[in-house]
This record gives sequence, structure tokens and C-alpha cells, in this order.
Amino acid sequence: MNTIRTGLAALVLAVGLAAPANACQPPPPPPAAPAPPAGTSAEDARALADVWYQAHRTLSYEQERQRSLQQQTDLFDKAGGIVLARVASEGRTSGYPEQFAYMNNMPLVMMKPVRWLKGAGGADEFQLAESGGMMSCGYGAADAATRGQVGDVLLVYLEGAELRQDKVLFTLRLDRIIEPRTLALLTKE
Amino acid sequence: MSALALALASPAFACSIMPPPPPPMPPAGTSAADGAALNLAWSQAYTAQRVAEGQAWKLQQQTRLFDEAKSLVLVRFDRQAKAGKGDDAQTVAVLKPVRWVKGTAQPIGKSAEFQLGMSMPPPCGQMIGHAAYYGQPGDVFLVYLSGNELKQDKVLEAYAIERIVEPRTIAALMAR
Repeated sequence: MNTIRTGLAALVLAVGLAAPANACQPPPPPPAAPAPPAGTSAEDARALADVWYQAHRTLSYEQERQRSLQQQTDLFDKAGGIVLARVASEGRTSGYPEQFAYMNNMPLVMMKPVRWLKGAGGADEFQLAESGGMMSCGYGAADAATRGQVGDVLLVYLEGAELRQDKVLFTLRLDRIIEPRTLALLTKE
Repeated sequence: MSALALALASPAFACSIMPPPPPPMPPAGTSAADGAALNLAWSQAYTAQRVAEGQAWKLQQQTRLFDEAKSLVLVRFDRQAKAGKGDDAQTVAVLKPVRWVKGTAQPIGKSAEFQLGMSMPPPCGQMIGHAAYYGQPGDVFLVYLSGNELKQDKVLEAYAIERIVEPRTIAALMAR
């Protein structure tokens, strides 16, 4: 019995680890700092550990920055349209039939295009809701917008010039933008 | 020379940080809400560009220092002390070496320490080792030296660890 229980536990663990949700888990804590040389004083050992953890933090931060930069570079190249838009109003989704009831009462925003950085499209408000374009880790393409508030300003990366949720590649808050060509366009007079 | 010219030529003027330029005017007919959004976008992008320039400059400095320095040593701030006598007396930071990161390792032990005093800052900057001089007990710094000796006149620079971004230096700090 114990063997079966152990086997089942191992199976559940293996399935759990193999599930996509595993990819969404926060990164593991940093490994322990290396042990100081024998005879190192307590103060020196603390100093060495502090240095090691700080260097590890810097390295992780730089890796994350590079990942963001690569993502924004890819989005800039791939997008047929990039529009600066502000959250004009907030609401909740409604009206889905019973079999899609889980899609009701989700955050929804009306976005007002302010300026096209790439491509050229309309200036009419368009709707983004938190159910479309689900990506890895349960994060949707429009989530930066749908989780925003009235007045927030974002970049909306689109397949082309159509202002439709199913054409949204991604949305990014302005304070996340680091890609040089995008910044150059945002500061262009 | 006019007073204005003198004022403009003074070091204080050269050192002052210029405020950012104002955002460009939005196109005529832009609504107030759209105008505010454009201003916000411009300001945030402008700031991000300056931050990127600052990071690039920092990286360049540290790359140069890593290449120039014969030795790099980790030190911790131990205490402040008085050095010298009479008119020559000055406050110094007493730093204890913890680990040699580059160069020929020198002794590390209870007796090993070195004193960092004040030095003349450049016209628009801080003196060498500013952060370490004004450190607190327990703070750790990376000291770049032009030789293998821990002496003030060999100090090229001293940075707080959180300031270090240069990849080879980070790798050396993490080497086991």
C-alpha cells in the first residue's frame, strides 16, 4: 500500500512539474553563497556573502533587462502598428452565454488612441478585455491595459492598423519601455 | 568681461544639472486628456533614455577601470579615525581588505587595513573613493588599484558593490 501511495505521489509530482503552470512559478531563490575560506572572521564572512548576493541580484536584474529588451525588439519588428493609447474608461465584461459564463465580469477597458508610432490607423476608442489572447503563465496580451486605470497610457502592439482585440500582439506600460527605437519615436517632436 | 560671462564660466555653472527640456507642444486641436497622455509618454521616454545613457556611461567607466587596474580588492568599512597631527590631522576611513578579486593577493587578516583620506575632487565630480570615505561600518566596497599595494596614492576608484554592473567584475565577484 505504501509503495502504491509513494508511486502515486511521485506520479502526481511528475505531472505537476510537467504542467505548463510550472513554467509560471516564481524563480527559485538564489543558491547559497559559497562558504568563506577557513579562518575568515564573522565580519569578513558576512561581507563576502553580501557581495555575492548583491552580484547575483545584479546579474539577475541584467538578465531580466535583456529579456525585456529582446521582447520589445521582437514586438517592434513584428508589429504592423504600434499605437500610444490611454485608458479612457473601465468596466466589466457581460453578456456571455451560460457556457461561457466564466468570461463575464472580467476587467474591460476602453482605449483611446493618442498617437500612432508605427503604421497608421484610426482614432476611435476600442475595447480590450481580460480574456483574449491568453499567453503563457496566464498573462494575456492585453493585461497591461485591462489591469490599468483611467488615465494610464500604454503602448499597444498590433498585427496591423486594425484596432481590435484579436489583432493585439501585446500591451506594455510606458515605464516598461527600454527599446531604443521605440523611445526615439516616443520623444520625436 | 561682463558679469554674465563670468557667471557662465564659473565652475558652479558648469556643474549644475540642466533641467529636462519641456515636452513638445501637442498638435493643435488635441484634447486636454490626449495632451496629458502625450506629455506623459514623452517625459517617461526621455527619462528612460537618460537612464540608459547613465547606465552606458557607468559600464564604460567600469570597463576602463577593470582594464586599467592592476588589482581589485574588496574592502569593508571598519571605522573612522584621525590621522596625522596638528594642522595635518585629518579624518580618514579605515578599510579592511576582505578578498583580492584581481591581481596578486596581499595578506588578509586582523592586522591588514588601510586608510583612505580625502582628496581633491575634480571640478564637476566627487573625490576618488567618495562612497568608501563616507561609508558606514559593515559597508563593502570594491577598490580599484593601480598597483598591488593598498595605499591611498594607488587608489584609482572605490565603488559600493550595488554600483557594479560590468560583467567581468560581476563574474569575478561571484567566482568561488
